[in-house]
Amino acid sequence: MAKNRRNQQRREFIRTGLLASFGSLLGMELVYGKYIPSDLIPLEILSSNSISELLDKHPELIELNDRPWNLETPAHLLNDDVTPADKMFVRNNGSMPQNIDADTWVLRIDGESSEREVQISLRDLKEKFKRHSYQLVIECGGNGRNEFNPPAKGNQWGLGAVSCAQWTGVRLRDVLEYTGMKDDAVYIGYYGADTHLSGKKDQVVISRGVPIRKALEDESLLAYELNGHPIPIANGFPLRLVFGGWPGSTSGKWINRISIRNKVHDGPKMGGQSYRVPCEEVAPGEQVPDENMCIIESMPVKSLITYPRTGAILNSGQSLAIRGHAWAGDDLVSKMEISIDYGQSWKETPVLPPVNRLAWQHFKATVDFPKSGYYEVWAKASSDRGISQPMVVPGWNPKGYLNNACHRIAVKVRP
Amino acid sequence: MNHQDPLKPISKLMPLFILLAITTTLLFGLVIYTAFHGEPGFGNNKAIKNNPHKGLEIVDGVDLESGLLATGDYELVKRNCTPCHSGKLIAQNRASKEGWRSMINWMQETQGLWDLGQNEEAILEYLESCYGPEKMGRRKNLENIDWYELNPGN
Repeated sequence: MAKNRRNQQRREFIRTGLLASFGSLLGMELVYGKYIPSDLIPLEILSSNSISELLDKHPELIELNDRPWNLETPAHLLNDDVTPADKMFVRNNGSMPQNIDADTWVLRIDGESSEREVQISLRDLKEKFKRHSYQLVIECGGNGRNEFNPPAKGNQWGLGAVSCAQWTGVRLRDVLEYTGMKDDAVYIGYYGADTHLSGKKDQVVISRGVPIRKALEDESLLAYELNGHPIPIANGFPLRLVFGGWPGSTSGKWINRISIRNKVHDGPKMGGQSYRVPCEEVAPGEQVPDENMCIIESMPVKSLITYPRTGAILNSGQSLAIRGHAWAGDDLVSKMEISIDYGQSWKETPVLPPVNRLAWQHFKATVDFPKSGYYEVWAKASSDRGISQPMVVPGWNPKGYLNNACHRIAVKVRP
Repeated sequence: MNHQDPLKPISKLMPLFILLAITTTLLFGLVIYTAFHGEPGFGNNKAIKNNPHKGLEIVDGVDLESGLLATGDYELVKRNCTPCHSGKLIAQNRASKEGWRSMINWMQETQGLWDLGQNEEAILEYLESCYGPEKMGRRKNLENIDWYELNPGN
């Protein structure tokens, strides 16, 4: 713990120190220096620092990709009830926007089913609309992709493309009501300020969205704060959507435009095979035509053991206190079970209710081992619809989404 | 009051000071502008050009700049693939030749990848041989476990 804090202070020192010296070179204070994209700071100054430092992320985040940046959180770093900003995973599709100015940021609302086209400044969003705050789970649709066989394309996420933080902002519903929505509205589609990796200025990186019914929920936010602070740039500063329980790609980042559509939104990565699974289950490796792929909506029931880290060695007779979180997309987790014999027997353990709808739920258990040897502690969550996590990797799909197989940690008990 | 204004000599020099300040500011501005915009392209590309490992090139059979296995036609792959995305995206994926071909097709149809022409076969050969699929069943054993003592007090 102390080491982590030291590291954090060190990183903070490096960042502020760098920006301060950079600022003194310019002869002025760098306003919002904290939010300058790291790739804008001369690389000569920063070349000795790692990506996690540049993005203000915990040094133990796993770097899957650096162009675009994709960072995964190891399971044991997700032990906090509310995920701290530096432990929140990063999933970028393109290059992060540069020179963001929150003071002049404007959100445009348009689309066939919009009563009018309006522009709302971020300042007005903050001042004129009611503020709401919820703890919301954001999980990447491809979390767990690395277990599919045959392998699925894309960033090979393991366990930790998931977070549950305190998001604060305005209800998307309030903004849509202020704009006015026609009766034929079907979907909202977002646009962000990130840029395509190819460098083509007019190519949209990703533009997804949700059906109107999800857009109008109480917890569907246009958020400008994460855990009471401005959102880290890598997670969408200064304004992003948050749709708890749905694939993270619906929760667009750096949002500057929302279209109210009279049909299912058709932006990049809405169609084809992106964020879609076969409408009917297919055999592993089967080719699936685009027209047989259906858009993912609610994420499946899932859980993580966040304490202890896998690999714990215990003394004979020592009990193990485990902790973790469980979530179930739009649903509620109603049962949590633990097994130390590969699912031959399960022991139920209490799971707390969520602090609000679409927040993850915490569980604890004390595990005793009958004799020495190698064990795996498996955790299984079930939703209030009676659906449980599978012990094997569930239905194969071409892009490797929705792996909600049980999490397990390795434990050894000494003789 | 016959006293001479003590600031008078300084105020005489004022235009010179102002000129000096303007020149310095312009010069700094030029330096900063060059630092940001010195080369055509984008911030992210710059990061690759300024890779701190530059010069080390290949270590343990891996091309450090791209993260790709430095064997066969890897330079062809580096040239055609890493202008747009990190080599890490390639290295973490596994696919058969047909699987890699479909990814290339998808990039050509939606992401602006150019026609690879006669290089396509060589690129596919490299990708399949270096990053081909592994048989892993429905659930792998837990691997690379970092064992540690868990104190009862924790």
